[in-house]
Amino acid sequence: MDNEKVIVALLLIAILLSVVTLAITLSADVQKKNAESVNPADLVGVESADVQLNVLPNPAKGGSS
Amino acid sequence: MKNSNLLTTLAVIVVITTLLTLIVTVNKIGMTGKATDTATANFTINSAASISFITNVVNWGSGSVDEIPTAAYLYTNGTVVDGTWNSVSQGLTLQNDGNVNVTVSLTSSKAAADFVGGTNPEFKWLVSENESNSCSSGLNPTSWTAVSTGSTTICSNMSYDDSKDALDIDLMVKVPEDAIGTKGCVITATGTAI
Repeated sequence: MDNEKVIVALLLIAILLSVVTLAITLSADVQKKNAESVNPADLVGVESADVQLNVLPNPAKGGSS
Repeated sequence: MKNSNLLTTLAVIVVITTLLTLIVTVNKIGMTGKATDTATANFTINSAASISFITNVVNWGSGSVDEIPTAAYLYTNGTVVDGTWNSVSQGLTLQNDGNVNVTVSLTSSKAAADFVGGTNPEFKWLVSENESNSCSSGLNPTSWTAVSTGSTTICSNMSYDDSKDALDIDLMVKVPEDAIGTKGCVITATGTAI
C-alpha cells in the first residue's frame, strides 16, 4: 500500500516535470531556420573565348599552297 | 510485492529522467531573470562561382605558310615560325571573380582537324599561373597537349583571392600549307564551386 502511494506520487512528479519542461520549451524564443537554399546556377560559372586565324595561300607557291 | 518494487524502481527512473530533461532544457535555453538581453543581426553571404576571361580573344589575323616549309607554327608567346601571321604575345587569361574556390575545366568547340584542317594539323594548349598560387591543386596540362573537345580539368582548386586568382592558357597551332581558309573555334571554361 505504501509502495502504491509512492509510485503514484512519483508518476505525478514525473508528469508535472514533463509539463514544466514542455511549457519552458514552448515559451522559449527558439526558431529553427531552414538552411538557405542555394541556387545551383550560383555554383557554376561559364565563360567562352575565341581563337581565330585566316590561312591564305602563299603566292610564292603559285597561290595554291 | 515484487511487481510493486519493480514499478517503484521504474517510477524512480522516470522521475530522474524527466528531471534530467528539465535541467538540460533549462541549461540549453536559459532561464528568465537575466539582467541582459541580446539582439541579433542577420545577414547572408551567398556563394557564387564566377569566372571570366580577362583576355578572351586570340586572333593571329591573316597569313600564309612560308615558301619552303610545309607548315607554320603559331604560339601565343609572340612566336610565329615559318609563317606571316601577326605575332600574338598574350594567351587567354582566366580569372576567378566569384567568392568561392572553383574547379576549372576547359572544352574546345573543335580539335585540330576541325579547327585547322589540312594535313597533320596541331592545336595544343598548356596552362600556367598568371598570379602565383592561383591553383593550389596543381595545373594540367603544363606541357603542350592536344586540345580536346572533351572536358579537361585544368585546376581542381582555383583561388578566388584577388591576389592569386588568374590562370593563363597558352595556345599553339600548327598550320599545314594546305589548310586554306578562315579558322575559328570557341574555348569554354567552366568553374564549379568547391
